[in-house]
Amino acid sequence: MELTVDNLEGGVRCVRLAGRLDLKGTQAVEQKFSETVGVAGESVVVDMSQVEFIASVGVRLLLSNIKALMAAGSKMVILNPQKMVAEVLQLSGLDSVAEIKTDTASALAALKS
Amino acid sequence: MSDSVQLVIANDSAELERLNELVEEFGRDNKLHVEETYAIYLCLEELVTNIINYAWPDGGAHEIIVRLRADDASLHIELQDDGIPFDPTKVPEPDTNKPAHERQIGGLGIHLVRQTVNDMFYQRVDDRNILLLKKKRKATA
Repeated sequence: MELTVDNLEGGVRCVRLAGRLDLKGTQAVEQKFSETVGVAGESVVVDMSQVEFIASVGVRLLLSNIKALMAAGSKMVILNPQKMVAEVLQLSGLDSVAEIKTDTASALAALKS
Repeated sequence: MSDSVQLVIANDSAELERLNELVEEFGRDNKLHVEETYAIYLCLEELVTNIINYAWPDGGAHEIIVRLRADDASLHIELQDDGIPFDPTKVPEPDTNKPAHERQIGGLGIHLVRQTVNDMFYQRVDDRNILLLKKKRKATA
C-alpha cells in the first residue's frame, strides 16, 4: 500500500493511494494517511484510482479522517475510485460525507463549494 | 457443473493473504467476473477478521474452514469455526439516520456482506458456527 502527495493548482494537496485497503494495506498506511490528512486538517483530494480493493477497515480509515477534517472546517473529496471500490464507498454511506468525483477539475471545484 | 475448494486457515490475520490467493485462483478457475471475485474476498475478509478477533476470547490456536463453490446460478461460501456462538445474521444494521462518520464502529463489515450476497444462513451445530452465503451469478453476455 503506497501513499504519495502531490500539489494541485491553488495549493490543494492530492494524496494518492495505491494498492489494497484490506486489513494489511490499511494498517501499513493508516498512520501516514492520518498524519497527512486528518492531523494536517486542510481540505484534500484523495486519489483512489490505483486502489484495487477496499474493505470496511479501509472505509473506517477514510471516515475517521473525514471526521477530523470536518471538525477543522475542511473537506475530503475522493477522486476516481475504481468501480467496486466506489460501490463499497456508496454502501458504506461515505458518499454522503465526502464527494466522489471522476476528474481532477470537478474534484477541485467540489473543494471550493 | 460445480467446482468446490476448501482452505483451512489458522486464526491469524496473516492468513488473509493465503485466503486472497485462494479466492483469486478460484476466480480464475471458474472464470468469474472480476466483481464476483471482489465480492467473495470482501465477504471473507470481513467475516474471517471478525472470527479471528472475537471467536476465541481465551485465545489459542484455532482453525477456520473456508469452502467455495460455483455453479451456473450462484456462488456459495461456507465458513466454519469452533469459537463461541456468534450469529452474524443477528447483528443490527448501522443507523443510516446518522451520517456515516458518526455511526457506531461495529457492524459496517457485516452490512457490506449483507449488501453483497443474496442469502446468509447461520447454524450452530456440534459446538461449531456454520455460516453459508449465497450470491447469484452475474449474467454472462
